[in-house]
Amino acid sequence: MTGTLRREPVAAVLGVLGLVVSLVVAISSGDAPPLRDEATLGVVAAFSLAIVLGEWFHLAAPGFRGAAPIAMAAAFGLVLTTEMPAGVQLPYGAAFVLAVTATSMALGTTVRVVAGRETSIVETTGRFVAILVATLVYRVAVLGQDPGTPAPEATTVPWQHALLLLGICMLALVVDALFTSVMRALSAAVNLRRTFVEEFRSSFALSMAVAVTGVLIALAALPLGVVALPLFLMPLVLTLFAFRRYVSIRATYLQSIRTLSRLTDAAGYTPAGHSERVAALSVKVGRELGLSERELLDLEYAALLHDIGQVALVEPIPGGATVLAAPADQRRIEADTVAIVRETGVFEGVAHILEHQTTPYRQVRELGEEIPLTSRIVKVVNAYEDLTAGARSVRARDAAVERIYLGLGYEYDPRVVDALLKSIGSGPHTG
Amino acid sequence: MATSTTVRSRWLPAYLGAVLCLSVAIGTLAWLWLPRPELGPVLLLCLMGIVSFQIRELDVGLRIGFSFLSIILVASAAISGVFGAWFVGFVSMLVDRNQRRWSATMFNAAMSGAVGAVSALTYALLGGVEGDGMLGMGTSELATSVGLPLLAADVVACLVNAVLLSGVIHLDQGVPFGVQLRRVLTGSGVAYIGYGVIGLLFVILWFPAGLGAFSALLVMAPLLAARWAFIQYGEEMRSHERTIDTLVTALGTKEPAAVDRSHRAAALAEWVAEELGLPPGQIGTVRYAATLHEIGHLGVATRLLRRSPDSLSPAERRVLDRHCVMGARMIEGIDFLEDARSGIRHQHERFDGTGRPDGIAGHDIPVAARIVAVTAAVETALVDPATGRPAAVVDVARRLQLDPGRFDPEVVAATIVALDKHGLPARTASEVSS
Repeated sequence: MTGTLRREPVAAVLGVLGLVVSLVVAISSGDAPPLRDEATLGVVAAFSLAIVLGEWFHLAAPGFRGAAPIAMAAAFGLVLTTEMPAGVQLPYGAAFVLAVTATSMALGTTVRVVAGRETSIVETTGRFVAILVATLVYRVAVLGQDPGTPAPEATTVPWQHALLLLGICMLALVVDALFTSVMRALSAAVNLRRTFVEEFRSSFALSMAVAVTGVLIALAALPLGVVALPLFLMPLVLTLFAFRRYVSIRATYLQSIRTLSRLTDAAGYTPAGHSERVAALSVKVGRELGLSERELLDLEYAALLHDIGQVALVEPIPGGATVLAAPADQRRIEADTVAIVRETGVFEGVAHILEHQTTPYRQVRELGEEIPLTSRIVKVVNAYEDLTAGARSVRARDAAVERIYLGLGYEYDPRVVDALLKSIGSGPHTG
Repeated sequence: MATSTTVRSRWLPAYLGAVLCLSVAIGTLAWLWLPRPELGPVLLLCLMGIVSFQIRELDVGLRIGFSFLSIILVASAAISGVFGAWFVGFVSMLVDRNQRRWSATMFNAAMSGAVGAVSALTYALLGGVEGDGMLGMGTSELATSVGLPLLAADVVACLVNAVLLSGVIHLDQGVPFGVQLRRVLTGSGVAYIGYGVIGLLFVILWFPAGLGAFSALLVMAPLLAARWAFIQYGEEMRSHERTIDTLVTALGTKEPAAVDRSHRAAALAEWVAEELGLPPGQIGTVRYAATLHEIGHLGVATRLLRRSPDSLSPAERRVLDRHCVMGARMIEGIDFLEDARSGIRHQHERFDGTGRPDGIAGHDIPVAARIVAVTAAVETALVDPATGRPAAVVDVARRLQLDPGRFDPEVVAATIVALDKHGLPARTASEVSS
């Protein structure tokens, strides 16, 4: 993972640069409100606290773009709020807003790093870039606000004003997605356009909720004052709890896969740890063949579950080795396995791999049948594990490789067998 | 979900009729005596109500559905007053493509109309200000004249909804009223009240922030976020059901008859747990344990399972009896089944303490295990051994009481009540013919 090593420092340097520049500009241009203006400082402190907490409680899960909806909504609120109840104007401009946002984000991220939680500097900096864009567009371009003075009165109809703010927030979030995809493209050989589209699509629903919440905070601050902040953040806080549920759902499916994979061990149909060994080796072989992370995950699950159809057998196969069973029996086990996996309703990709785990490679070559590469990997690795029966000696390994060679090109895909040999650290066989 | 036709109370039509008449009466009186709302906002709110009811989560488990109509109703109380809230509630539920029984549709409409009217009445009685009256209020005034009354209206709406709903489920499906009420309140009560805050946000945007009808568009974002959260709730329930189904399917590939036995045991165990008045979480645990009580058969040689229990030698019998220990071990590592495991492990314990595997007695045996023991015994008593025909409930009850040290008498009593109410769990057609 040399890519992450390079892009994190770049993002960190950009982030710290933004923090320092905004602080310097805010102080030198006299944009900061005077210390005796306690009401204004109280408002700013509330926003700042929400951003720090939002950075701390950010969302992260495997296969999910990290996001800090509460921090972002609060920061948008800070950018867009210019007026409080009873006509009180907030006497600060773009530079001060950015300085407060940058400081709060840095504080929240630092706390996370100190506490040893997982953090992504790229994503945090991306969020700051979004706020930078929103501030410049709204406070400088639209309002034309001078440092240290209240924003000019908005003269438009409330709903048109709301639409304008919403547009600015959406633009900022697009820039955020663009920034993170550029950073990703910098360090790894990925297609920038595709990464951007994926980034944007995967985060669209949440971004929409964040943008609207930020706008609503600013609109509601007019009658409610700073109370608008916690009140309108409430739905996002509830969403945070729902996200926990989302993560626990993933965990439940993972746990049920692990349990299912152990069923045949527990029932004495397969040698202990067989499916775990097949899974570990399959993933190695898959990496060798350049599969994507998503395919590797399906492959791992499929390998863990590949034998579970054996529970239907009246008498266990000696040693649980399906490779030694008659082809018709292999097919029946395969059909039962697929039926059980389909019942979960969420592992269609896994079931698809398992559907072809016993099909001989010959059918690809001669009949042009489409068999996923992942199925071919499970077939080869399972045969290897069945034949070595867990033994790790060189002799057992060579004997197993020899038998696989007998079926090369007929039963087994030569490319996969080559990758297997590389994975187990054995050179091309000469015998 | 197991349903039974024998339990529907004859009071059900009377209950449905009474709720409908009451609701229509409230609506009529509100129209005659109270200020009438403007047409535009009411129509907009009706539209939002219809849409939110159409895209609701149908079932999030435990017979509870979720929609954010409740949020719209709370907002209606402050935007359109008593008649407006009643009308929005009534109309939103009239359009229901999935419901074929018109009596159910009418009841739903009457119920949600009543919920809307009662919450609006609460709002008005607590000094809640409607509509343009909110303009120009200060922050503290908004809190006392809008915020607090609206939250109180939200709580009242939640309670009225739970009571009316539990009443109809009690009469229709024989679930004890208190059990169902607790289920609704613990299952969706917190969410109902929590998301009611969005109703308050809606009102604030409409009047004090001066956005008017445009706020309906903006409030869609928090509403959709809430919907996503509801969906996760339902998905979590479904992930549990799917995991259970997968394990039962695995068992079924080895022992096909076990699938129907599992489902019957689950249905009966749930009825018994409801009769005993267990809290909602424990009812779930009992159901999981009953569904999976034979999962350990996966670890028993198929030739033992295929022989009749009487022909087994004592040594073979012991191997077969070990299945509960094995089953409990097999599902180790699935978090949501953690509590159900002890119910599976201890299903062969005797109430007098002379059973296996641990010889524990009385209330030391987990309640799930005590219930599973009885439901498994009912399963073996379903067919009269003398005639080969389905047994009667009295015969099953007598057989359960033959061995006084075996079962928990409380559970046996609850089982007999449940069987009287729901009838014996039905055997499927394939089994009866074979």
